[in-house]
Amino acid sequence: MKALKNNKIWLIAAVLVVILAALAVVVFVVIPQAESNRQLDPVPAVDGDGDGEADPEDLPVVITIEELNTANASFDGAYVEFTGEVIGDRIIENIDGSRVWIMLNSQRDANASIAVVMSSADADMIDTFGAYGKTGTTLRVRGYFFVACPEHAGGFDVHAASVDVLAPGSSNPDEFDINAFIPGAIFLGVGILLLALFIYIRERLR
Amino acid sequence: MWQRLTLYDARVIGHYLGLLLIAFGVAMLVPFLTAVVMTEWQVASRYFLGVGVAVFVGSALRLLRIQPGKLDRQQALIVTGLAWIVLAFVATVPLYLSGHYMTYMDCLFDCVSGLTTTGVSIIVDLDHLSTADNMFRFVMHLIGGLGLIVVALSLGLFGKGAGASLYTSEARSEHVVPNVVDTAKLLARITFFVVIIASILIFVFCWVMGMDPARAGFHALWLSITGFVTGGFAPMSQSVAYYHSFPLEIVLMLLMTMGAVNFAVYAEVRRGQLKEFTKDLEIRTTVIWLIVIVIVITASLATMGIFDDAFALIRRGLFMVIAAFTTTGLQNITSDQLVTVFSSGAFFTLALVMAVGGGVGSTSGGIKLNRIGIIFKSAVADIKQAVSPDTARVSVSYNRIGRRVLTSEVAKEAMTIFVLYCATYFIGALVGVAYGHDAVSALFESIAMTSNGGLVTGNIVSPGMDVGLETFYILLMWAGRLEFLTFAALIVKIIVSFKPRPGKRAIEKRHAAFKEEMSKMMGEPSTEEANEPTAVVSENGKPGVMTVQKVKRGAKDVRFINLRK
Repeated sequence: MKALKNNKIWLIAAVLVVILAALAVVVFVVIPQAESNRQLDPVPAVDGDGDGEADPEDLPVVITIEELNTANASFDGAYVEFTGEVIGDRIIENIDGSRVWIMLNSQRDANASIAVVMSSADADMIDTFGAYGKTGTTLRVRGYFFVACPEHAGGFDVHAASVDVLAPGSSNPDEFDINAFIPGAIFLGVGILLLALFIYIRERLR
Repeated sequence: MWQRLTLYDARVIGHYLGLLLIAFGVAMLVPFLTAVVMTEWQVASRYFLGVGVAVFVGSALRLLRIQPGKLDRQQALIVTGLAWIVLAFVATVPLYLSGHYMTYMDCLFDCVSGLTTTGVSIIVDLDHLSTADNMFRFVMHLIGGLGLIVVALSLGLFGKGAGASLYTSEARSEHVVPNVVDTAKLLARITFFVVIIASILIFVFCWVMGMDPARAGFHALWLSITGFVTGGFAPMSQSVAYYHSFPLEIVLMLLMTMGAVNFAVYAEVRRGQLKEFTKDLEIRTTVIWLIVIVIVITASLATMGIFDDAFALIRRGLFMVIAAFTTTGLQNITSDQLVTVFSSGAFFTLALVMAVGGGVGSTSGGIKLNRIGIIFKSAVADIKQAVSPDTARVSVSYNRIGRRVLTSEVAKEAMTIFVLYCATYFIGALVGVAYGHDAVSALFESIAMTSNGGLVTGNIVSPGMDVGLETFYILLMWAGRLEFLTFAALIVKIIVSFKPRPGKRAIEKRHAAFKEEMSKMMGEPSTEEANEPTAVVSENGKPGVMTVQKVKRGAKDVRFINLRK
């Protein structure tokens, strides 16, 4: 028992572990899952006849990508309509390439994006994929939103039922401007001079 | 007694920091050349400026001391500690000018996150970021993951006879080969070998998925780097979820796990010592730990009933566990899924896994599994001792590149780091709560920062966040990467050095009091005699004059030796 008594550090560790456990219980058990109880307004319209297909009688909820990005589980399977800029790449979804993944960025909050799976034919309408110096095609997508997609191993995505092009993309490549390099050249020039001075003094001291 | 930094120390430290800055400037040529190849001219001009600033500041600092000599242990600690933040400041030059950051502090946060391989990014519109900027983010990951000092040692920047103090000050203790420079070179070689192999594999996946070959090549390289150095940055805002590829996720899981294994074990395996791998205490602890965690998280997710099949559950759950355990922070789910789809139990488990971290001597952060194993073994030893007869001596050994006896020093060191990490996790959480955030997110974010884990809820760490909290998180990332001791030494040194010295009057007062005290103890000096001044030469070759003064105090003769330049 001596070893246990003498080792004060064990006591500190034990107290810390108890505090950790107590805090964990309070934080994760006592505090209800308020985070996941967020409700979006209006309540989403869902697939009316439950056939998993977009029918003319199904009215989509017009929503933004930011709202989709913070949607809770109750929104799973909702029929939604949103617009966004195509970014990144066209990624093949299945082996025959009949369906592809397209990423859409919100035009209001550039950090909000959503993956959309659509037919290859729909994706062919995209003329530009957004990247540096490129603004992607703006699309309006109607489709089913999944918080944990049953078809794609729990992915966070939208299955497009219809896709419309709202605006074509554009390209703005960088122009070469020699003046933009002048500040760097000044710093580098002075830096190299200082380095040369350092080497000179060092050699003199030897 | 805390020692102040002398002016000489400051000049030597400045010299070596300058050396590191110039090397960092050379590293910036990689994004500069990328920009030139990709004809991103605006970006190229920014990196040209970055190189210029790094070389200018670095050269100016080197002039502080022309012949600095070898770094002593104290100076090595300060150089290592400061290097992480000084380089981050220089890294902000090209990145902040990109216009992708809401504030300058956001940019500094990202640079510290990149260098410390925390991997949290609060960049705005990442998906429109240039190829060169992305390349720079991953260059920072590569340098930081290996360790700034390890990179510098492997490039021979500190000379062939660089001391081990430099190496150990960067939270590395394993000497794979006897010489630290050769060890650093070996670590770099292992990293480059793995990154190249993984890049080829991921390139094939990306290309087959339909990505443009050039983009596939860049993404493959960046993902390989971020995976193996357990970084966490990703080239797209949706992290790994962007690729929708299970094979790619498997490769990344392997890479992350490899990055979280002690590099010294690889060296042993390379020498044909396969047994070292299976017997290693840390490897065994990792296996047990992962099995327990995967069972817990799978059970926890299954109760939620959101994932429809076992494959989905395992794919998302396992990847997130590996990303958290290795403190990489890559995600194959969105931040929204993390807080809505994952149960609170799974969320808590991820936080715990991230807090513990990977292996000592690896690129991962956190408390480290080796320390958990040692603490467990130490507990076993104490219990054994408690139930044994008084005369019995219990000895416990463990396997770590050979059999070692568990000493109280080793157990104490593991315990100290454990306590420091736990305390910092809680302090970080309290600071988050004080800023008005909810406790769950505050604790999760604090663990993500301190362990350099990088998995965040997005509720607190976001563009334009509170500057005070952001500064605190920067300190947490910095301290966590250096495993506190170097960081603490740096802070103490700075505080002590800048503490005002006592004034002339205070010194005179102290002298008078001392004299009075001495007089009371020994009586007034009765006789004084001094010999003739003698010319002497000091240790560093400087001439001086020595006078020996003999003072009689009571019954005793006291000799005072005065040396003057």
